[in-house]
Amino acid sequence: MPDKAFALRAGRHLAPTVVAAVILLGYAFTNPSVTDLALGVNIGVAAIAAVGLTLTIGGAGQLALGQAGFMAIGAYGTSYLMLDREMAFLPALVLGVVLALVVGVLVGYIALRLHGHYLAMATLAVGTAIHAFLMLPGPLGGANGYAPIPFPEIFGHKLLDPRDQYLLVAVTLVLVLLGSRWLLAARMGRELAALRDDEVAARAVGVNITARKVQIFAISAAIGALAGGVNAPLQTAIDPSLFSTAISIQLFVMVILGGLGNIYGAVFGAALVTWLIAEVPGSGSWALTVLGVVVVVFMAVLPDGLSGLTRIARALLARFTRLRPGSGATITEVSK
Amino acid sequence: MRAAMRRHAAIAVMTALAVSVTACGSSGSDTSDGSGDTYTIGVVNSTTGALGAVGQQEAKGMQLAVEEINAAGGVKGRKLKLEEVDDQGSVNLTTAGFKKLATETKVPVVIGPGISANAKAVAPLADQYGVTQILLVAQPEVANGTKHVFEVPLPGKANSEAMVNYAKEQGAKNAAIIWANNPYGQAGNTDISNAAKAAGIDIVNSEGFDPGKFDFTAQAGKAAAANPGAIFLYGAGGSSDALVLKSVAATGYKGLIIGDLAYSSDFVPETAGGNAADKVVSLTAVDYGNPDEKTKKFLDAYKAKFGEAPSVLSTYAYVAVQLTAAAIEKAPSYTGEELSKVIESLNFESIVGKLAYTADWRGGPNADAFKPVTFKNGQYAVPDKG
Amino acid sequence: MRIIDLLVSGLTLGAIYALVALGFHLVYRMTGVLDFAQGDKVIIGGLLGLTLVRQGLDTILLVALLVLIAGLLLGIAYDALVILPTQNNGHIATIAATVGIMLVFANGGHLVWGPDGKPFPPVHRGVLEIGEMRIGYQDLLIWTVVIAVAIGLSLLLGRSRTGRGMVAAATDQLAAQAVGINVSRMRAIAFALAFGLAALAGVLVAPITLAGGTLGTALTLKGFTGAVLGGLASTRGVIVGAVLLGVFESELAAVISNSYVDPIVLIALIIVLLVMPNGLFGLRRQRLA
Repeated sequence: MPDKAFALRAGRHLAPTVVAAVILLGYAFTNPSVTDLALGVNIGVAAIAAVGLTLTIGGAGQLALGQAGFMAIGAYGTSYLMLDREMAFLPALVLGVVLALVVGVLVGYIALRLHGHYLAMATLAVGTAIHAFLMLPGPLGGANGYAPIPFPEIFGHKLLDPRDQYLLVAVTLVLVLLGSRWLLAARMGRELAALRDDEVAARAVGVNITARKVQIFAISAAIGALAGGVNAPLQTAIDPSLFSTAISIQLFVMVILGGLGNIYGAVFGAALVTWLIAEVPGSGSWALTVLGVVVVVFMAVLPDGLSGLTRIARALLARFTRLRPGSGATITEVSK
Repeated sequence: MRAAMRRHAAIAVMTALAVSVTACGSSGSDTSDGSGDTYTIGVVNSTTGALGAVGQQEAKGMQLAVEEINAAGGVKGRKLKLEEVDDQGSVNLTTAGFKKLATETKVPVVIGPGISANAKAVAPLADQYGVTQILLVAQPEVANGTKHVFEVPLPGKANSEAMVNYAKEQGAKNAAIIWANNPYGQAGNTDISNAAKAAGIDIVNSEGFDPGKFDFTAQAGKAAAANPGAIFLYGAGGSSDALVLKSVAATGYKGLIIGDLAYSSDFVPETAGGNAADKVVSLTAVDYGNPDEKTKKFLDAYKAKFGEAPSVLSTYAYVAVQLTAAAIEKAPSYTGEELSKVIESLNFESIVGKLAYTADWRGGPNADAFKPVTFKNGQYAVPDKG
Repeated sequence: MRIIDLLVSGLTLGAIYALVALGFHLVYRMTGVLDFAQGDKVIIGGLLGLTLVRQGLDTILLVALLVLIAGLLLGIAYDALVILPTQNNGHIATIAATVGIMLVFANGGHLVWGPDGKPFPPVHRGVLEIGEMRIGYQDLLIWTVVIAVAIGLSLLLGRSRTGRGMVAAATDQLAAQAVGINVSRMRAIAFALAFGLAALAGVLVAPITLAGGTLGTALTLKGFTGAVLGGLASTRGVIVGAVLLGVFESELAAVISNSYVDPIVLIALIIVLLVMPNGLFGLRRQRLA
């Protein structure tokens, strides 16, 4: 019954995303304040980049630490085309993403030769090098930043209203979630999982490791660039500090906290980290210090991140439901 | 598979809820629009992040100004209060923070930010939300042409011109530049090069330095090897500036060393060493060497409160609060519209010069407001006229 | 003459990188972990020293000794709190934990000591002048410490019972356990040494780099680059590699604009990783983890 199989597969990747989409998009119509929408934009942008990073780290088990570099390529590419070449937002964004895709392919080839810690350092170096290049004085403004980038205009509608801006980010995030879910559920995703769990075995059963690795790095880079490219014109000004090594590390932390390989977890991690950094009173250093402690604790007791919480909760729930009937219940009562 | 799907659905729901809940959680705040017994002034500042040291100096300057004004009875009988947002140097947080101040705290005036990209991001928002914005960046082109945006700092370009003029007065024919590879320094390099060209001084070497580093032997060596009449130093506003000066002095270079206003910070003698500090002449906005009465009062009060001399940047922040207070005093109502109108016509006399704005000029006072300052035995001094 | 000045500053730079690289080396050999907080340990050492100096302790050598001891103790705590609890959860968990602790060190340091670098007194302010060449006594001291540490470590690892135990534990944990080596103690020693040396480095270099500030990640990357250049698995290799990197960086800055040095070094790191992942002195046969 091909129809049923299709429905099952479609359902598998659509249902959670549809729920997320309804809430993410619906939120814009619950009359949120301008501040909440601005925070929502920041969370959404971080979430897009984090979902992209999840595909490499969680999906394929390749430890990459340079995602902010790809955000920079998307942001600067899109902004340059909009400001200097007076291109419209959407084509500029597409070209910025394509540029990052190309760089991502190059980084993918690096990943073919390096593993684990070495790959992590190499990708960290790539991200830091991109940042260092952007710091050089020149047509992109160097440390002084690049401005004024025009607000994005889509089909003649200029996104000045904070709600429109939030919706742009939310729609992009939902599309990225849909795409990623489809990718992971399709053959590609299973091959990536095989690659992650045992590279030699994967090769033995005929997975084209070279192609898969390069593809996943390119896709991840492109999604990172999408985040940067969508964000830049919303902020109207960018500078290299938005794409520093520290940001790459924050994105890594989001993926880690969300639970490796879980794209919804990455969104959750992005929300948590961004919210902490923006809202912890006093100063940003507090937030980051707390975050550091949280990461260590998580890695010690909950290595699969926030998605591990649901596992634990369900295990507890299952235990209680199983114990409720009969004499077992009294034992739990007593042991409490 | 069904289990997996349920798990993902559960996480998706949690995620989306978290986004909404966190976003809602942040909305509860006081809406002080000037009614009651205080005037709340918004501040967007970077007290953490890569340029956090500068932001903390600025925060101190503002804090002192508010305390002084409140101790003298406040403005129109009401106290001033600062509502501060730390943007951590990130443009994303600047725009979010500004929107929060403009729409939730509902302040009609915001002071800061002090980083150029962040200022560029906020300037269009100030006009969009009708909020008076007093930037702490030294780039008038960011504020010029807007309706509600003003700048206190003396333009960086004017600082560069003052440095070049000083070199010319002292008879330098050629010069080298060492500039910080950050927003302040990169602009400084361009401005000095242009000003030197106009003044007929040859630039024989120009080198950037990374303020996050510590070994500047190469830059100093290159500059000194060309043996120019003067070496211009354009700093980052942090302690690495002093290390650059130390390296230049260590080469045994005998010519003029002319620093931008960052080189009038009081940590320069301690960090660079006394010998090196004695050699630099800083063209700065605050007359540390020979302060007038108002300036001296400020310097003493700051020193008494924080145990250090105020940097120029903290002085700018101090002046920004004074300017705001003066504007509130004169404005018929506490709205961005009225405050902007008043500030434009106020011609406020401050300790860094007269803040005269027009519809087109929104920068701070110009080149003649810079004073040469150096150190003798670790104390501020006026350089000898040579 | 300038070339010689740059050589002096390059050697010092390289010596600083070497002290970071040695930490990488020790930890990597013992546990196969790359510690992303390695550079920040140096900063913490300098800041601890600063606190002692502010308490009125003005014999800098004594400060250095106290910080070294504090660093050794912190290293043991570091192993117990950060590495041990996470090591059974996969290598990504351990890396993430060191990244987390890096955040704690860097930002916690800012909270306690402020974000800007602070002046720090050297052991000796003098400058040795040999003809045209000027060498600060502080530079000489740093070089001496690096050489002493290098010799000490190779003696420790090569000759002493503890050192051989460490090498054995690193090579094959199970086998080492079987012959009665206390593997967890060996690990603790490695982490203690890695932290202690970094903290000591922090005090020694603070007069040059200033104490505190935002150098940590840069030191981590550069120390790692030096270590990889020489070969992460060889004690001699990491030191030579790090010193070479320092001199190379310094001399490179003389011929090209300074802003290009960092991008070039980072690209060089990637190329070295790709072309000769075992470094100049690494064992050719060894596979990368």
